Amino acid sequence: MSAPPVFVIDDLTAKPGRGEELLRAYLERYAPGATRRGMSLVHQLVSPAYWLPDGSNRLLFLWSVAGAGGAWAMKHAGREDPELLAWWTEEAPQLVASRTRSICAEAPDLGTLGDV
Amino acid sequence: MFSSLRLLRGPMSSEIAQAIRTTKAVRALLEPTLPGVWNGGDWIWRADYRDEAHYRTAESDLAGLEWLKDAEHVAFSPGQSGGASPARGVYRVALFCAIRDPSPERLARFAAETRTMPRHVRSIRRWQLSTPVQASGSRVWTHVWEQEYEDLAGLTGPYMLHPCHWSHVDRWFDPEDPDWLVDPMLCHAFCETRGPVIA
Repeated sequence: MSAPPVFVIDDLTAKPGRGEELLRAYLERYAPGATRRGMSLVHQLVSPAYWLPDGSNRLLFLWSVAGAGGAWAMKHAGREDPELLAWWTEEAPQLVASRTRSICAEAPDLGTLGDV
Repeated sequence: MFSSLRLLRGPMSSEIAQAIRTTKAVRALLEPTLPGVWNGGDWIWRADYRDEAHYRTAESDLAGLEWLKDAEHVAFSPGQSGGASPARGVYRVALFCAIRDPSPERLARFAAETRTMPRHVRSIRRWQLSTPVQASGSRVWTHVWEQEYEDLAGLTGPYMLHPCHWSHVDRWFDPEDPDWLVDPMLCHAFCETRGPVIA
């Protein structure tokens, strides 16, 4: 039986009027490396569902990885990558007002994941 | 009680072993590390002294030993701890250095969450989280996170695989997470034990 999937949610609030630019930068600068680290992009959601010329769009990127092993593989590969650090500490802050990252699982899988 | 822990690199000579064993520690562990350590050295030497004054006396007796100067080293009063040591098994220690915005509030949250892990990871039999008063090596270490397990599988299995680790506490170690706190350069060392290690 394969490990239950694990999901990574990047919840980004764009600086006013920079939502579309942030989406483009995230997909061009961040997403390819994430894919190489074993992450699969499932959703790229925007709220509200149009670009705000003066307000802050919220962008949610939902990724999946293969279980706890996939989560560790993603993390360990990222910690060796200076470009990834530069993305989050130098490039993204120019377009992001605030952000959170959550690592989640489907509620029915919690028992399986915790039974180790 | 006051503790000193070193992760030592290189072969152990009889001279070094003798010097280490003659310090007036009330309890000591000197064991080779097991395969799989990360920046963990070749030997773990952990000693408990009656108090900090006894530790400092022991340190002055060892001052001439060049070999000790390359070690990762922390000296600390026991921090919060829990559980009961197994009769034998595996001792693991991690040394962390909090580098990114280490405000008192963030350090307190990190420590509190780390201390919740043994509640979820059932293979941790004994644990202690301490703050060094003296630290040297590749970083100025800010945290000493120790655990004892009945076997290596307790560390490589439940400790690494429980969601409390990879989906919660690890965010403090993750440069991708806005809560990132700890330098990715850390020490992860473990060895076999033949008796209780954490007092």
